[in-house]
Amino acid sequence: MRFNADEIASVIQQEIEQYESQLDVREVGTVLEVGDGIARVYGLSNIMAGEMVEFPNGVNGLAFNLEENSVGVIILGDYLDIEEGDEVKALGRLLSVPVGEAVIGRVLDPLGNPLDNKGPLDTTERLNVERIAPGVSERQPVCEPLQTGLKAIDSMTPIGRGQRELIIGDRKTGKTAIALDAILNQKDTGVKCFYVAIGQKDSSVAGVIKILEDHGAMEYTTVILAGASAPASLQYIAPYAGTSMAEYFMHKGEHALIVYDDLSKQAQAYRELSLLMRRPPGREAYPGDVFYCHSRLLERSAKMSDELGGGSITSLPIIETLEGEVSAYIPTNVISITDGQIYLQPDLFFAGIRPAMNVGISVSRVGGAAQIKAMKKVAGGLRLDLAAFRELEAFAQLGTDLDPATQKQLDRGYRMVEILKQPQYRPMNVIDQILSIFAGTRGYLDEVPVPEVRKWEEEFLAFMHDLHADVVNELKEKQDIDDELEKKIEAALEEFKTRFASVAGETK
Amino acid sequence: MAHLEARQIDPAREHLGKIYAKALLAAAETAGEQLAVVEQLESFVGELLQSLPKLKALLESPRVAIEEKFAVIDRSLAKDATPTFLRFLKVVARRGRMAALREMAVAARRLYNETHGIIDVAVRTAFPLDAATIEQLEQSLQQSLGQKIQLQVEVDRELVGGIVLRIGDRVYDGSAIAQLHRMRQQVCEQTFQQIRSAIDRFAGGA
Repeated sequence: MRFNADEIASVIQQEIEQYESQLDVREVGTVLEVGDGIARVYGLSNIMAGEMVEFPNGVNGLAFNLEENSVGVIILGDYLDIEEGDEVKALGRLLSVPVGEAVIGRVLDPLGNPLDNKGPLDTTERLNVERIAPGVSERQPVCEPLQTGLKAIDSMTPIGRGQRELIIGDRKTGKTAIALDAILNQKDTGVKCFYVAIGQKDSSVAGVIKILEDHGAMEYTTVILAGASAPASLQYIAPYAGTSMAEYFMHKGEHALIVYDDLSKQAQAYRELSLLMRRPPGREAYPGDVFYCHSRLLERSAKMSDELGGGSITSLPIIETLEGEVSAYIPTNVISITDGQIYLQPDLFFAGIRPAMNVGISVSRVGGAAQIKAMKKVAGGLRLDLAAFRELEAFAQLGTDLDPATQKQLDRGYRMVEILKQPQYRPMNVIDQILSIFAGTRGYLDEVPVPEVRKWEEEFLAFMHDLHADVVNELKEKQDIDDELEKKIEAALEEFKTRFASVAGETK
Repeated sequence: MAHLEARQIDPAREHLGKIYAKALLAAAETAGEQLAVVEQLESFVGELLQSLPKLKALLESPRVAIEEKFAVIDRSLAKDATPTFLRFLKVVARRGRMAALREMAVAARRLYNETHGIIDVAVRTAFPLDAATIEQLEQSLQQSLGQKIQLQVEVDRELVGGIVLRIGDRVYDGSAIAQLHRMRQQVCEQTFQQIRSAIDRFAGGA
């Protein structure tokens, strides 16, 4: 591509001719000390809390602490070429980020600067990073499901649009994997997805972006990245910036899903800034308002009333616990803010149960309102089976002979647990989930050896789609299982049973 | 007074200076000698202590007995200084805060100006101004601000041209260098935008 130098020169000349000189009026201060990502500024007597300031090297900052004789400023960028004595200019406005359709598919930093080398963001609209959450009268209760594509979650702890569901667990238990599968499952649903990576390794985030690209998810996803080497101030504002971008869609009446991975690191970044600013440390050295830091973030995820468009933001905050300690400070804070939690446990993970969700203590406070009727019906049976199984699990380990009823429940339990396992990056359609769980709860798996359950499921679903597509479509349309449909499904199951048995018989 | 201010800023000392300045002016008010006291303080710090570093060191040293410091103050200033000012110096010496005298002088002048409706304006120009222009500037500022002005004029070649006024923490920048920066930024932005919106006009060929 060759550039037409004359045209460009003529544009520049025109701009210079049209330039109108103006008097520049600004509020200023002087840098007293700078280091560690913060600066102490003398002057700026009319500055307000949270106001943006600009340093001579072009980097922005936020007025964090307003003290008697100086202002504590957190630097949103590189602080290495800011010197003592530099003039600091107040910008008279709050921090804002670019929002709009243009952010979809991009990888951005928390200030809205592109990180993916795909050119500048082509949008003129901006929203403040700190915004007030919708009020009580502007909301309506959560009523639509947000399908994550994971059987364990969609059946036992369903998530609705507008809900906040916490994913909590130790390191390497599959927290990000659950969030990713939820994003992958939003393909063709019109839900815009946002993945906010806070304090993560850049290599991990690169891996996530690659997965999203490979599965075509980047077409509806935005990644906001404040990696481990980013300044603490950027890690602190990243979730708020992402939420503002999602709120753009919510206010238009559309739906968004936002994943905060993870909020523990954001709390640590906030602690770092607060301690450097000499704010008094509280429990575990976190500042006194770390609860507010998370509550004001999560309250912005809501389901708007129909008068205001009916849009929603569903958020999946992720918290990492240390050694399973869910009663530590930050985990208990966020648990009390969210509408439910998904507990992931390492022993389940290593026992091969993945997603490693502990169904007994995971909760969704929205529950049935976020499920289609058909799923509600089959999920009830699943919950009962698993509850009974958990009670009896201990006996199985004793190795004693058990009565047939108990043995039957145990067998059913093993098979249901097996059904809930799911490979990564393979989110399942809700109709398939319903058929799968239906088969399990009605006892059609009881004859199948446990190691073959997953294979059975795969073949059964293929069978249904190929030979009984009408039943599948009917279920998809009705979203409910009436007696007639139930009979049809059972008939199909009987048919498949004979087929599967014959295959097994042949291989024997 | 620019020479008094051109040091590093220490907020703790500034605060101290403000407290002592307030006390000094309150004490001087009853004797009706506020301006006198402020001028004496400025001259003491800016001229006397500047030219006699040994005197400064003596007054600031914690190893010198207080009575000796009192004696030195009396001997050197008794004829020229007002009693209020003398007493002030002795109080400062007794409390060991001689090191913050400079900040006290600055704060005292500021406080005096504030209470008497005088605004400090710092003027920077690229080239030295003649007396007539300064007078004109003072007049027009006094008119528009409606209060008495105390001008402080400085030359700064970096401005290239024009004038910069600083009132408190607000800067009115009419310098050529600021205009040039702004022009450059605006021209670049507008040009990029135009190129982006009509890329075909500006580029061609394979």
